[in-house]
Amino acid sequence: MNTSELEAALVDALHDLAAQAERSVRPVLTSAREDLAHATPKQRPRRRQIALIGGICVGAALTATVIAIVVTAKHRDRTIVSAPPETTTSPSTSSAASTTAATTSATSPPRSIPSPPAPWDPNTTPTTTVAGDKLVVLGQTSDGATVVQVFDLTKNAWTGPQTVPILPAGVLTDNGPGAWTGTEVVYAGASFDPGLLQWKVQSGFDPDPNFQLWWATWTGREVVFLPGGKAYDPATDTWRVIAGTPLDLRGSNPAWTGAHIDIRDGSGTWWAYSPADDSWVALPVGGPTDGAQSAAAWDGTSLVVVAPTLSTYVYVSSTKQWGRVEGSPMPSCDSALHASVSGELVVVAGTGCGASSWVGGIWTHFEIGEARAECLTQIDTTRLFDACASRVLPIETIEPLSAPTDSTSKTNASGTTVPVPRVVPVEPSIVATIPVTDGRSAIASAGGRIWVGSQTGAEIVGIDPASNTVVAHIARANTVAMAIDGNSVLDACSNTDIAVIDPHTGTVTKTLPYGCFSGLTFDDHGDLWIESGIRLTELDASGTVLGTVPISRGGWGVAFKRMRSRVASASTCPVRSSGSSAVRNSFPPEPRWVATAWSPPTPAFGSPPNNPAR
Amino acid sequence: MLHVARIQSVRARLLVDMGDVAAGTGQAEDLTRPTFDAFFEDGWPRMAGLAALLVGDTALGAEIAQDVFGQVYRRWESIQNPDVYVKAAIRNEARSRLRRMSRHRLVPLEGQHAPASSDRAQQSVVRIDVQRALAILSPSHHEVIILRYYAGLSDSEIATATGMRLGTVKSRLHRALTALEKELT
Repeated sequence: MNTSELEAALVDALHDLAAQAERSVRPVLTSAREDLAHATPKQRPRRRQIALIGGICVGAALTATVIAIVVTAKHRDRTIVSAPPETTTSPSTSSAASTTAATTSATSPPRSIPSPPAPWDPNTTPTTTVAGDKLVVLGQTSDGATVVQVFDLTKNAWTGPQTVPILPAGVLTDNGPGAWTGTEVVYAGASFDPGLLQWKVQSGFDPDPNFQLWWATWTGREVVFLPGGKAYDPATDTWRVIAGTPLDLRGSNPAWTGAHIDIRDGSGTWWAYSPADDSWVALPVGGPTDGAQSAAAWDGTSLVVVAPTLSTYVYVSSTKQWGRVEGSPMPSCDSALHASVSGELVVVAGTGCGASSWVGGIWTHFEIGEARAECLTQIDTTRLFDACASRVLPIETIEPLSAPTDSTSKTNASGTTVPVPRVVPVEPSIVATIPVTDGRSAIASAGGRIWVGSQTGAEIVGIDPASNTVVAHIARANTVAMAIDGNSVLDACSNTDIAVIDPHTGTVTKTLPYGCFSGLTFDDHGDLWIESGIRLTELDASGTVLGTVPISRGGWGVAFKRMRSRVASASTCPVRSSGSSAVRNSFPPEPRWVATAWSPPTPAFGSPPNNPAR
Repeated sequence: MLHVARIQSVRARLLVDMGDVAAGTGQAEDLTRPTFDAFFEDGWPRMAGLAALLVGDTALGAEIAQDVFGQVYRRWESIQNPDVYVKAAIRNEARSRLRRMSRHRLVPLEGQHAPASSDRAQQSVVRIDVQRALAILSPSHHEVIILRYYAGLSDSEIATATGMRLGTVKSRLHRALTALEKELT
């Protein structure tokens, strides 16, 4: 199969898969919509314990399973309190300021940028680094030569191409970002002096293919590479590993504040990395949390963040507060953003994947070997001008946002009480690895411990994540599922019964005569749902059966998903694309059940176990 | 050339989803904002399908879509461009789930590939082989393959959608195709 045939086959195969998936979920469209209808804006808080339920979707023939226990330090449930009003800016200043911004922008229209002297190989991507008022562009030409071409933003002219010595294979990570230190461009693996056209291979760099290179930030002493979590000191030619870098740092570009690197992770949490302390601190809640990537820049006193779909945010370090400017400047621009600072203004432009610079009033963006002026937006804390759309955005005010309730407060020199951000552990890290044998396994968090059991094991173990040690053993064979109720009581289910366990003492307080095949969970009403392979059974807190519903087919790896207010669902492992859902349309005293199921295939599922309780 | 038409169709749809004015459709202005019900009716199965592709699990894809649409439902009035929001949120949620689950395999869904003729049978065999071969890809390679060959995005559009650098997109696509070719030979 050649490449074109493979590509055609991929298109067909993926569309078939997607069509199958769409067909599979359509039968539950109505119930899904109904579910949302009951999800009011003031929903009950999510039950954190559910997050660790599951993990039981293990293949039937699984042997020597190893469970890596990951402790996550999410802080989604943080609520916020009102913030002091001093960061509010009067709307009356907005109009005049906006006019000023518009005038400023009008004096700096995008300009035409000449093409580079040597065209780049269209199959490769040159790496562009902003070096003061120059752009150092390193890449391959169509004849295979590695050259550097430099664009002088003040002269609007190129120099080069100049042939660059070829580095030994594996020295330099491909297509990684570089950072300008004032004398050289530091990439991961080697540093390049554009004046001397010389490479300097760095000592001690491990070209790990899994080293993630998204951002390179010069702190004045080191170049910090994120999210890979390594820093290079060009003065000493040494590398160091940064402590506990959050895993996913693609929520924004990093902004160097002079003391910290501020950056957002994929979940929306903002972090500040201090090279001096080698520590990460979560910033208070209040910045953008939507899914799209945002742009961040430090304007000397504040972190200014532009979220493309919602708003512009300002984080004032001195008060540890977020503010929001209503209105997004970016709807007409590209969604991938970069931000820079010019004078008092933070300049944000929609860009692709190249490098951007704001020099001499001109926003310049380079991409795939071409230089072109992009739409630009100028922002400060009171004004927005969308140059892409040639309009001044309506400015309401900077709306002071919140600080987390779990932060402490302190009084500053002026007598103002300001919140202090909570220092949280860096997430996530593996704290224990537990080997289990054949069959399904279950994991849950209760009583400050991580509980792990398995179908073929003889006990449930409790792990203290702080000390990374097993601190409890409960004799309990054949554990296929666990769930935690609202009082942090652990329920562990085997094929024949359910043990109710006090996680603080590690003792079984009672047993319920209902066996699971592989699914067990509590819903938002505190009712326990049991999956036996052939039916779902719902029990209330007293153990009374509220209702049952047949399911079309259980199977290996059947697991409950997180319950919502009115929907319980059971679905199978991805290896078996069948499933069922049960929708309870009314609550006791007269439960009424509607079972929907989409057609299961006909593979040989494991036989549901006997369930003597019924 | 069916696949070309398919790509163009999905691509056009997704470009509108992404609010790409450059798509030339003019629909990105979205002057007639749909009701949530209409938005849900049209978008939920499609987004569930995309999520299923990204995580390799139909049920999980549906749950991801449900979670994302739940967010949209609660914030419907304040979300300026729900298409953009949903698109990005689906991708991020899929990544998040995969990271938490520490697994990522596009497992062939159980399809009914009835071989009506030898040609169709052969096509089905190839298709199933390709679906199975996809399961060997790493998460990052899997993602770019889906965005390219299902969503029909260009290299730069993938870079924009994922936040990856363009060079990274190209190299990952190349490596993913190489791995698939190797797996299928």
